[in-house]
Amino acid sequence: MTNEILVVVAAAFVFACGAMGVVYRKNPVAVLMSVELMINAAILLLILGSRIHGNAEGQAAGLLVLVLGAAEAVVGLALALAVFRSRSRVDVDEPKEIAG
Amino acid sequence: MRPARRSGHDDHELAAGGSPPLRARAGERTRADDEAETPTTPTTTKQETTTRRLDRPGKPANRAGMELSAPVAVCCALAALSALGVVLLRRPVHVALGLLGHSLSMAALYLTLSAQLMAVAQTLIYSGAIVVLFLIVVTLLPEGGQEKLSFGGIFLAVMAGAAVLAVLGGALAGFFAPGSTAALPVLAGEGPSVKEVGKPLFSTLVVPFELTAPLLLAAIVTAIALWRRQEKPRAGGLD
Repeated sequence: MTNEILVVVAAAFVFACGAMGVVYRKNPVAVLMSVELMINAAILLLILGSRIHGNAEGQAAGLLVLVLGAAEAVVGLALALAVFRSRSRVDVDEPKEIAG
Repeated sequence: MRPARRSGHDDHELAAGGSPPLRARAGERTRADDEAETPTTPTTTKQETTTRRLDRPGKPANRAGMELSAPVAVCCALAALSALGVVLLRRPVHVALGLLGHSLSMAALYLTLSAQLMAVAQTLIYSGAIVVLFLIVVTLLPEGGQEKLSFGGIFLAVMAGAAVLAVLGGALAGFFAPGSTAALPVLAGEGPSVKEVGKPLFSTLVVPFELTAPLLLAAIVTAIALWRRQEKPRAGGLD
């Protein structure tokens, strides 16, 4: 077991946790947090790659992904508030107006 | 390196053919060279290993850099545990705190990987801004965002998690194989400095970097537009 393999395994585990949360959760905020977990796992792999190859571009790309995650959280949270503020129950499966 | 040395040796021998005193001196030199030759053999092997290390980093000489270190293990364990907490905890406030712990342990993990800039950015942007935003939204949701989770949902979620893990494991199988080219070692010493990380943002990654500006602007405009649709138009207000 080496450092890199441990970090890769941890990233895969965190990503799988995020995927589980997206499927399992009913609360839109918790779903968004699970998506953040997946984004974090991706950033971790970018940084590990940057470290292994001694290349700074991976870290720079990681910074951009971080900004992407922030923008996604802002829009997602605004949507969640707009849809669920006036409802009595919080359940992402319930609203019919945003169903395709 | 070695052929050059040989030719120098030949030059001495040629010179040795000249006059007796020269030969004597040259003879001394050759003996000295011969004596030097014996310890040179390990040097050459060392050079060979150096070139091999450059060609295929990750082979035996760099083993020390690959061994499992305690800080990395602790940070990985914390990140995995807090990720589980995010998925399994019931109350949204606890989930947000789990995400806070996860983001902080990720920042520590970045530090162990010598990515100082990313560690600072993770702490400031994720722990400082995004988690606080999540907490504010949790308080604004009805019933504090309490949810009713079903048993079938758990089963489905475990299936989804197992499927994702299987797919990732298959994709990363090459990484685990011993002697694969993908299994490069973590380099010893310092990682790239902030200056080096900033350079690609203005050269190779300049287009994505510039595109983050309209992205953030669009995110802000969307958030405000979505929120204003919720507000009742007020008499004499801005609407």
